[in-house]
Amino acid sequence: MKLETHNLTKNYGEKCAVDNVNLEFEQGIYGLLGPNGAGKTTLIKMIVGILPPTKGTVTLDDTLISKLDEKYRDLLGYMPQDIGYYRTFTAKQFLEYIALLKGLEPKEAEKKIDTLLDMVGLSDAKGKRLGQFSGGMIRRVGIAQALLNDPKILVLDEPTAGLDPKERIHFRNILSELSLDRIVILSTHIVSDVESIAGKVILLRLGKVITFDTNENLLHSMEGKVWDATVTHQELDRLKTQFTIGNAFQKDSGFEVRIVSDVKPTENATPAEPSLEDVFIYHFGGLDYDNI
Amino acid sequence: MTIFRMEFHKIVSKKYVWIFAIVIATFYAITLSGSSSSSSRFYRKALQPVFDEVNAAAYDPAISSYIVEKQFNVTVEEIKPLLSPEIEKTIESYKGQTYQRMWEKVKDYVVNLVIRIDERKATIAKLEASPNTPLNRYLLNKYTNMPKIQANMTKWDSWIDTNKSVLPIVIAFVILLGTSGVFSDEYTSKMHGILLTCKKGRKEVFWAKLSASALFSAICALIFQLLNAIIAALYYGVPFTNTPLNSLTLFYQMPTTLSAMELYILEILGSVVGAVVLSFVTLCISSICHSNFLSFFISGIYFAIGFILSNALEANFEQGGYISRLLTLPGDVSTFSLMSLVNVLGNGKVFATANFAIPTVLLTIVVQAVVFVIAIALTFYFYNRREVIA
Ligand SMILES: Nc1ncnc2c1ncn2[C@@H]1O[C@H](COP(=O)(O)OP(=O)(O)O)[C@@H](O)[C@H]1O
Ligand SMILES: [Mg+2]
Repeated sequence: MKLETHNLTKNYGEKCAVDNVNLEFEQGIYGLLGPNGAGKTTLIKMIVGILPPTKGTVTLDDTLISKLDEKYRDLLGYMPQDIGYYRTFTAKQFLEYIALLKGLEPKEAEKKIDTLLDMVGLSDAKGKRLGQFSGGMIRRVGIAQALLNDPKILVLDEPTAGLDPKERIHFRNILSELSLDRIVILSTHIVSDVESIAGKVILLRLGKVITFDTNENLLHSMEGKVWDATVTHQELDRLKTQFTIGNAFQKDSGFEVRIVSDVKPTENATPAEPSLEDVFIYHFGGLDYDNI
Repeated sequence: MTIFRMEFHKIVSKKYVWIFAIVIATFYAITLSGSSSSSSRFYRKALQPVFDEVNAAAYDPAISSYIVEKQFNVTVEEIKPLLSPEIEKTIESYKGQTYQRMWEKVKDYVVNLVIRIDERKATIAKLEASPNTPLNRYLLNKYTNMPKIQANMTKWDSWIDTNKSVLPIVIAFVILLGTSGVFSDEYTSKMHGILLTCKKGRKEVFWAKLSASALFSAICALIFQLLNAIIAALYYGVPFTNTPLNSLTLFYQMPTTLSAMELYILEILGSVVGAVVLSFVTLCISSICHSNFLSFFISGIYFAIGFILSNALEANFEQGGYISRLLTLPGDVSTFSLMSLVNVLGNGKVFATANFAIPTVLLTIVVQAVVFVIAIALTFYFYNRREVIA
């Protein structure tokens, strides 16, 4: 199974939200990483076929997804960033409805719904109306509905937004427990979401793919570019003007900072083990990036 | 559970639809109750048993030629000896003023009927002498094949007239309330992103929404027609017999060969079919609107335009209200006209050119069938092609 985008482009008037994107997905988890406004949602909507591209195509095994139509949607599980739901439906009713739309047999649906509700930790709330659900609970319903048909192509748009740290870890566990015979595309602006689970990472910036590689390769490419240093307040101010700074912690001895730089930034800087976050900072800078 | 049932549930689970429906129904019942007069009811009812005698009198050559001779100015005393003794027997039991008034009524029924029969003859004669145009041929054919006019004693007027404007508006209002959100609600709740990516979320959901809306609209129309019939039965009484449409004051000069009951049944049919067409137009508008209210508003305008064109432009042309002209045609073929049918079908409207003359109602049906098909096609297109924009 090979899902591909070819020169995929979306313009909103003058603005180019997605710019000539060529990607290839095969089995595995793909992290689509980029700051807000990078074009993740736009790209994803075109991949799931709910937004007509300005230019370019999406194919599955060399067939246009519009041509596959129902066959493509049968393989698809999609959780939108801004997830829709019916306020008057209970969680169970809602999932039953989606199961119906996905063509599940009622018996099969019943079992699947129970398993999924259990998996996302909503078994106790299944009889409650969605209108009374918190944002985090709605997200969990959203994840459950995407998984109903055991999709071979699972597309999740910012699935962890609005989840608390515990829910986020739980979500990561859900993903890593999914069998791997599928394509999972997971968009986020939070590095830690994809760090441990994504096999490949796509960095998206201003609608363009700036890197698309495996996790290891990305980390490998950063070797020698990541430094730790303990500096004074004045030094920190100076470094900020010259280099990209990641985390900075105040310690008794001064500031312990992470610096991403091609050259050694200060005398006492020591080379550090690169993390995915360093990759992100390297490409997007550290300042306007909110690290939650 | 099926997708269809879910979609139907989404429509009927809106409480405000029912609240409005009940309020409107009550309001409707009250308006209708104000429009019946109890005295005319009394005389009509009392004279029901002599319906046949009254009709026979007007068609009796001796009586009718006498009335024509007197130029339709006859008194009760003059006409009484000529009429069937059955009539006197029926009226006998009423005393004083009522007795007198009753005889006046009988006289009026007979004289009016003679006038109409006479006018009919004159019309036919005039048409025979007129140029042989498609319109004149059409009218001549209609007038010569019309069933015999009867005395206007059946109360069918009131029954048929209920479908003229208020009832279609009431039905339309509830339909718009129920169906204007069918698609736009999905956009507002942001569900369409999920729907459009589900296996059966496109075609199946689309058809389910369409059939659910059609069922809802048809049920609405039928419920209100039933309610209307109950109220009419209470206020006007049930017509005691069928009668040719041209016996009724509203339609007696109109070129139609229908009977009152046929028209009434066709009105109900038109009401149901028109309701479905209206709901599909509403769905089409709903499928491009992001807000339920906007869709309601635009659909309301669509219906209102038909209503206004059909009523305001009902110009008083000298040839009677049964000719469709280019000016009245848009109103005549509107969805409102299909839901009402009193105007187009009751009046036996005809559309004529130099080459042909056809009943306008055929045009109404053709146009509404086209509207129906286009609405479905566009709705499908808009629903599936709608860009899911954040
Ligand atoms: N419907 C729209 N009309 C105009 N501009 C849009 C629309 N949707 C998104 N954009 C713009 O396209 C860019 C990419 O948006 P989006 O795909 O939502 O990014 P992300 O999901 O990465 O935050 C942004 O600059 C956004 O303002
Ligand atoms: Mg987004």
